[in-house]
Amino acid sequence: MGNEMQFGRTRQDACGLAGYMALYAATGDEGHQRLAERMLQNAVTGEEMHPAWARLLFADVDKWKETIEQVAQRELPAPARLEEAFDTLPFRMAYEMKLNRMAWVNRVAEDFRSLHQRLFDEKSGLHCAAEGEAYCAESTGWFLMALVDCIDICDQQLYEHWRCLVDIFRTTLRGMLRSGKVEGAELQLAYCILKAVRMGLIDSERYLARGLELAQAEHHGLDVGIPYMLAAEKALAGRCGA
Amino acid sequence: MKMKVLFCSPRSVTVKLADGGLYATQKAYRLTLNGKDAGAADTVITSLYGLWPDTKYCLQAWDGEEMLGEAEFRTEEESFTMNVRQFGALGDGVHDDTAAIQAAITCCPKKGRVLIPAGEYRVKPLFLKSHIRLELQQGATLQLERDRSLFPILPGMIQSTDEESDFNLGTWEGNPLDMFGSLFTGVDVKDVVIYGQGIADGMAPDSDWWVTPRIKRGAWRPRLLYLCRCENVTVQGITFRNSPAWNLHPYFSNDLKFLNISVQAPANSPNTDGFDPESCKGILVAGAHFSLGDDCIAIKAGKLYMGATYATPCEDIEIVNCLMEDGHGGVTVGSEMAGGVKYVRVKDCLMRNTDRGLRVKTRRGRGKNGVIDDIVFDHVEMEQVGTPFVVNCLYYCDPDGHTEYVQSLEKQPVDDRTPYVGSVTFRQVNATGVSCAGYFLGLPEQPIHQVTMEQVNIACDPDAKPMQPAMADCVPKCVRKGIVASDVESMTLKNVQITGYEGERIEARNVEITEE
Repeated sequence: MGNEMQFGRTRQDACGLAGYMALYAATGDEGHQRLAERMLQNAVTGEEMHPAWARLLFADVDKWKETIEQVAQRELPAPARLEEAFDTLPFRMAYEMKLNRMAWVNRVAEDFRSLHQRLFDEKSGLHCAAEGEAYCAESTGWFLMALVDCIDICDQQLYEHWRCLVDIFRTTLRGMLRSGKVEGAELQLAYCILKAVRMGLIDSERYLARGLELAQAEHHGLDVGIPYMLAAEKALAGRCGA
Repeated sequence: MKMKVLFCSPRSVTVKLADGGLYATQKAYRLTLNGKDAGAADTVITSLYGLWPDTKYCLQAWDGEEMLGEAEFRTEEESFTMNVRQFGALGDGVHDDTAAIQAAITCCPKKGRVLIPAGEYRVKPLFLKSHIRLELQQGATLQLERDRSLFPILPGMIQSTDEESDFNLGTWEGNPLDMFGSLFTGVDVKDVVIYGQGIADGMAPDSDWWVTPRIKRGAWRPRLLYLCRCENVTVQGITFRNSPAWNLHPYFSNDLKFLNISVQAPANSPNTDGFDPESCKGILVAGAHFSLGDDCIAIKAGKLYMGATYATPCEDIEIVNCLMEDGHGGVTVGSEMAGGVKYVRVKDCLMRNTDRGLRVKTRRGRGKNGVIDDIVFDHVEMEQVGTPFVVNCLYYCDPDGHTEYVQSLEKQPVDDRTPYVGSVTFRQVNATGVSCAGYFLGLPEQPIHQVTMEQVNIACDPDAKPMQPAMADCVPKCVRKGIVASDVESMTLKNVQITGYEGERIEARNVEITEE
């Protein structure tokens, strides 16, 4: 590759890296590991790095500690839109778990709770994408991904916080599926459902078939990130006999 | 001498020989049953076994030729006996006898007895059934399986089919988490007696339960007895030892008796609390002997989620004529107490060589339902107990235990996460071999309400070793210290003698002291 492009500035970059890392972890295929390492070698510095990308650096905390701390020292605003939860909250949760002695896990939980309380409509069972805006399937899909990834990172022994995220996840997922308004978020939903079933958060009998059905949707122009993350979950689901 | 029958089953009886002793009687007595020799008694709470069902007995206690006390009782009826040997149990210490013993339990009719005669029985977790008596005879040992891959798991929370509610089975340190089945597990059972002179052995030294104990491998560690939502259960006489984790753990259970039990674990074993009632009501612990690696008795009520969601205190607990040895605390309240702990009476007990006597531990984050109140120690002797009285509201437990939120000495907002300590009373307590007389650490925003000491004698040991009396970041090791108190609304001292201390008799900050 001549002029190597730099990675790590966008949410899409983060999903691409996450996809390669997840597929390597799930299948052992070293081709995915090589691609992931190449992206990491060509990443921007901590000052410019997207927090969703930085979150993936916790896979090797010792190697990336300095970069992680650079990102952590930045003012990461509390999310105001649903999709912004995916941008910052998994990074902050990972930081609390791995480097900050879990000091402020409650703040991460509080940011999720605040978003949920402000944007959720009990009657419809759906969230607005942001204050004053309408429901958006893709935004809600990012919100669900943020939740399921944070639930995965959070120590279950901090049960009140862990459970808060699980309750919001279940409510959000149920509302979205019952409404049937999933166009544009099918792969995100499939990823979340398969991961949540694998983690025992939701009933496989009720949700797994729906998740596999959603996984058949077209990519709709998404890059390899989410499809690869979904492929990893499918591989893990097969291994678990789900 | 007064003799009182505390409990009677078809085949056993527990009596109290009230001769003024605490755990041991002041002298040994000869016993007779219906005129026949029934051995000797040297403990205030004494049990006899091998009785016959539905039979009237007269028990007498003798000192030489002088009859000092008597009690009459009738044993309960018994329907059938399920001898586990008839169900195929071999008791040879090699063969897995789980299926045979479980079959005997499952098939046992109401008011029947499951009999485990002398032998060594290798078992995986056993599940109790209502309305049975299980006898572990002298010479019988249940040996818990060592391989965790063979254990069933009790899931922490299972969501209902309509997704509206939860079903809680497993628990670990105050949270509803997956745990392995325990040697004896009871779920929603009532009217059960487990008794005898046999042994329930967790075999932990021969397994990996104590290796990396704070890491969840498969599920959290099992106990020796776990009672989940049970009622009217009595455990009499059994020796529990080498548990993988806490020994006896009744959970959301009521009307329980633990009589003449013995609980043992090596002093360096991890988290082997002796008896941990959690969100229970109506418990009697009488004549128990504890010698183990953590708190002897720890009265609990869950962490924040359970305390806020179920708000079920642990209350109406009576602990009498017990001997607590070698543990971190004699009687501890907390640190999981988010549902509240109320009305605890510790009477006529002996604590020997424990780090602390009464130990109350809580912290910010336990929640507003975490109310500790009406705890009374009455006539308790403490020998070589490092710090007889500790109330610590800055206890550094849990992953976030050392954070600024938990450890700050500055006033924090009183909110839904702030616990409360009401009244704690110590009456007729003698403590010798002490390192620090007492440590009371309240929250500046929510002080301890009332500490009362009446007829208390504390003698510091000139050769005492420094110890950290309360586990909080602001508490250093100390030795030959008087009482240290901060953020206590009212401390009332009547006839309190402290000897052998260095420095101030009482170091107080934000404490209103009244002394007579």
